[in-house]
Amino acid sequence: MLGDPFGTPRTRRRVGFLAENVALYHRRAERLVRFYGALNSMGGSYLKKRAREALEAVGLQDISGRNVGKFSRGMLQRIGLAQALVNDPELLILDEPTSALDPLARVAVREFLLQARDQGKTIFLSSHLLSEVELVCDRVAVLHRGKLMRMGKTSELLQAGEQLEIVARNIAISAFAGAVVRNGTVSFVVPANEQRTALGMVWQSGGSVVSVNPVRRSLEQMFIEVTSGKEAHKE
Amino acid sequence: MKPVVLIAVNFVREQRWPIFVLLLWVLLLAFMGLVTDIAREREDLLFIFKQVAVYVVAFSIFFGGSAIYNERKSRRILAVLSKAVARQQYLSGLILGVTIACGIYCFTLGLTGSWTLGQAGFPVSTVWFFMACLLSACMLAGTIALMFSTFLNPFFAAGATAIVLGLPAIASHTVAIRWGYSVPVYVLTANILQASYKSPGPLIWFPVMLALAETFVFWILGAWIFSRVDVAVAVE
Repeated sequence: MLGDPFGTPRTRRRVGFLAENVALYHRRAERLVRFYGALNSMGGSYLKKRAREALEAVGLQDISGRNVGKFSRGMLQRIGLAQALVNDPELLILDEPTSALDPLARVAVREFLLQARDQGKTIFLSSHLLSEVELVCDRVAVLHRGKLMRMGKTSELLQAGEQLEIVARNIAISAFAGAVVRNGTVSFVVPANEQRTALGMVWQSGGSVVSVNPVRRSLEQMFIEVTSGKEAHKE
Repeated sequence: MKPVVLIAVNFVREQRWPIFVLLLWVLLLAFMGLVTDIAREREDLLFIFKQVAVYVVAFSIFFGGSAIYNERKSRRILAVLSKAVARQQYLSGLILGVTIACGIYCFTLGLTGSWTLGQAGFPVSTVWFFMACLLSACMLAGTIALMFSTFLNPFFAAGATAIVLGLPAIASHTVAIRWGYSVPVYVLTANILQASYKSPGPLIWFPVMLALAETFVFWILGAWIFSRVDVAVAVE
């Protein structure tokens, strides 16, 4: 990992980790973050600076003197993130970072993750909140019963394979199976290999094509398809 | 070295209330020195001193036996071991923490013992020698308990430690006295328990050195076992 053997202290110095159900010592927030930084052999003014920056990054700078034992669940999650960030890691490993957070805190964490990604950090995120994963991850791996079921770019995985959605105007809704009217247009889904035929039918009937897009599904739908497919295969 | 010291200081901080309660026993000795006629009650004072001294060995076993378990149960160990801390450093930190906790107790007991027993005619140098014996016994007992606690729950770790410490004591009485030196916690505490005003006991440092050497051996063994333990698995 990162060019060094996995799990050595030297490697971990470049990694930030946040466990699910974060549990930390009951100390003042800034002292706590400095404690974890010092465990990574950081010290002096650099550690103080990094601790302040990490607290700022998670929006806890104003309560850095408060004891962590009095923190709410969301604040604990954020101080957990701060301790993971204090060493300015190249790789962040986060286990359920937004679980049990209120919507505002969830948005804050999401924005923070996107910001960290834009700074060039690699973030390894494990979560059951697939809507969150869909919003922040560039690549997704689906694990089911300890087995890797699917892995790839999020955008590619969310494409519903060989299906396309065609949106057209001035056509009869009855001409296409499953078509629906939306804002004066008719949209319907066809298999990719029937795209030419469907488009031909639209033009022949005097209609005009507004758009043709691959059908996107949610990560949750994809997860269910992948995992239930496995179940069906097993049976 | 820095992570070791940080973990040790953190351990002491987390155990500050048990340490404080322990120190109340030492204050009892100081209180006796204040309110009693020292010349008349000197045997009682020595008896209390011996009793209070031996307590700390038992507490070192409880400190050592429960340290890893508490950290695993609270899941705080995950954040610590995710940093650049090797397993042997973590274990060293806990051993140092147990030693500091017991050291605070021994130092306070040494001060009050010097004051009360010194007035009663007991050699002050022997009081401090006893504290060195006690501290080395605590280090060894705590390390053995910590070693067992890497794979046993605190109750069984304490039991296993009691067996390891108790067998040499039994063997020294039933087989040969030298068996007591195999794990010298008994020898070290017996030094204190057998002391009297007439015969405070010789200042022999060999068992102290032996205890330190064995502490090192049990530390190596504990670190080797602990490096193979999955700390992410929840403990009962």
